[in-house]
Amino acid sequence: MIIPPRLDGLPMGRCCDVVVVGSGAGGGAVARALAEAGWTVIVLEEGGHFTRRDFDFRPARAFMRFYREAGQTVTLGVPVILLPQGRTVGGSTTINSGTCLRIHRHILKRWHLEFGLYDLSETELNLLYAALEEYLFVKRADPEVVGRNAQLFLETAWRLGYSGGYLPRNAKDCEGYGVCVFGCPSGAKQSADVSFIPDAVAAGADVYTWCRVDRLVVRGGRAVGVKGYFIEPETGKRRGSMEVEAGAVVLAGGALQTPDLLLHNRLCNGSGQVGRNFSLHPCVGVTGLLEEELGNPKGIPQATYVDEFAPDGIMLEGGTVPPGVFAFSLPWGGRRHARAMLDYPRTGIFGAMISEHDSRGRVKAGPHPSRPLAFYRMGEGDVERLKRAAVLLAEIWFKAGAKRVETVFHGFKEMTPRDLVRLTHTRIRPTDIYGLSAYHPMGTCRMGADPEWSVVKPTGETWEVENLFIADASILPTSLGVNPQLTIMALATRIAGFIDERLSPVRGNSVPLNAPAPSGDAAR
Amino acid sequence: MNVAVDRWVRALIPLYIRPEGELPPADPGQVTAFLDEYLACGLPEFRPIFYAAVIILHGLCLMMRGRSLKRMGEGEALDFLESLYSSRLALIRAVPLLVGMPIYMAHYGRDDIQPLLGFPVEELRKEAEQREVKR
Repeated sequence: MIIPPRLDGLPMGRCCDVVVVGSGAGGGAVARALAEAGWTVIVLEEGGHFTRRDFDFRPARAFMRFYREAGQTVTLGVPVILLPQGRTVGGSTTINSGTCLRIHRHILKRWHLEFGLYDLSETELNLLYAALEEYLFVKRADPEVVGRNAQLFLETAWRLGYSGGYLPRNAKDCEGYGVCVFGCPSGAKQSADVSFIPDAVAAGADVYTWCRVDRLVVRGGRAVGVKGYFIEPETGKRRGSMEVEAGAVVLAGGALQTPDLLLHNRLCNGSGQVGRNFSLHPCVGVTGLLEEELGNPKGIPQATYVDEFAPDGIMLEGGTVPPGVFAFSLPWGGRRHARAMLDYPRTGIFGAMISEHDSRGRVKAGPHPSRPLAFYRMGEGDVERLKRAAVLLAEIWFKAGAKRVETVFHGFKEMTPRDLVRLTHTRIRPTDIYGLSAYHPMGTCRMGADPEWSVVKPTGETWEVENLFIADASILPTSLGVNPQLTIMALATRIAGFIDERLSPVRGNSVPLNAPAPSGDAAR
Repeated sequence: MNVAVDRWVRALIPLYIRPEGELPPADPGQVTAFLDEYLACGLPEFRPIFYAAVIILHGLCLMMRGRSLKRMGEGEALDFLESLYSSRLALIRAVPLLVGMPIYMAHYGRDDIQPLLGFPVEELRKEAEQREVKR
């Protein structure tokens, strides 16, 4: 069952076979696989449990309720980059666009050659992908539903000879309400909160909400449980403590929270790699003012893509945002801003993400647990790549009939076709960027075959602590170049198999779910 | 919100949010009430940074124009704000951007404003409520 926070201040204890910290793409997949395999599973989620009735088309409210730190998480460096992350049952899958892309072959090849991950074969991954795609109803976005914005952009890109198409998404009977990233109001998006977690619960798992883990319990080099506490939803204040004793511990809090937890507990960092290799997908948006009304944001916000430039690390992916979000992303104020808002119905919106080449990032433990510091410096090459992405977006909007386009680069806020050449030949510095957002933090506890250069084994188990597994984006050895949720789910499902194997010799000896608690109150 | 900051923010709201076409002017009470909530549930560091940005914005006006925003005419105050957005210095540009972010989020996220921009939220809300997708 999904259990609300315990706010009476009394300590609580539970025993189980597997405790999973986090309920997103990784945590959800592990919990479901292991619960269905018959293990007693407890999931601890720092955020609350919300349903489609809570997803009410109010972006500002959504930021405050479903996002970590109200969506104000940033990376420290130049430029400062907004890095929104989910904090709710389902993690970031609840507030993402639902794009489900497989890993590019050349990235997997790199994982084999540079990180020794030969065991992770393309065949095995494809089998996992296929099973997940069926489970999550993944199919290409319906051209009838994508919306004019996405359709126009794609058709124009095709006219220019660029390759692209409709994105595969984990949405069943999507009607295109245009607010995927604020929670799907119809329940069409098969995020972990409506797929993995309910299935894990149906198989007997318990999910504790508003429960923050701050300690990992290790005895004799083996992980045996976690400790944490409940958070009062309204105030964020600490309430009663929580302890879970388990045969295996799975960390799935994401690429910022997982290294933070390990660093605060001084665990698994013999290689010095915990928190290092932090990578992202920095994104840039370009808008074009068109003659026709596009009906934004109705449609599927991220429905189409252009992958012509994917080999260069540039992936163009739509799309639209509601007016409240569009408003704060504009590089204008006052009268000019008001005019831009009035033009919103005729404004084409499209974005691009890049996979980094020379940027460097690192996550360090912050002064407070669960509030890591993410440092990120954009390299010149990646800034150039962002600029190139913006030029491509602008080119497509002009071809689509835009009278002018707007970018986030200083000196090029408003452009005519003639400015396009000027932008192409101008060197953009990180400080010239008005506002940048990034998604998909990865790589901070990377997987590898060499304990000197990685944190977890190819099985997902940490090199240094037995029975401590990591199953989230932090284990991805490099930037993926595509939305990572499907790959995280695939790796997490694979890791669940190894956990199952590890626990199997003791099946029958494992602690039953209703066994006496290690301390404090009885479980239920 | 701190009383002084509340007053300073209220002075900025009409500059940030201009009535244009069918779009109505801002309701300062709604914006500041939203800010209270937004600052309370966000990063603890964001509140002092936001306060500082508001104060710096007023301070920049005194430094660059020799007068406070209050003493300026509306047109001149708007020119000043817009000039900050186009400053060559990234740090100066960051000030109005930071202040504007939650103000814009509050105003343009309103249920009565979004339909004016072609996003009929109430209608969609009702439609979505009727239409539950089951696995």
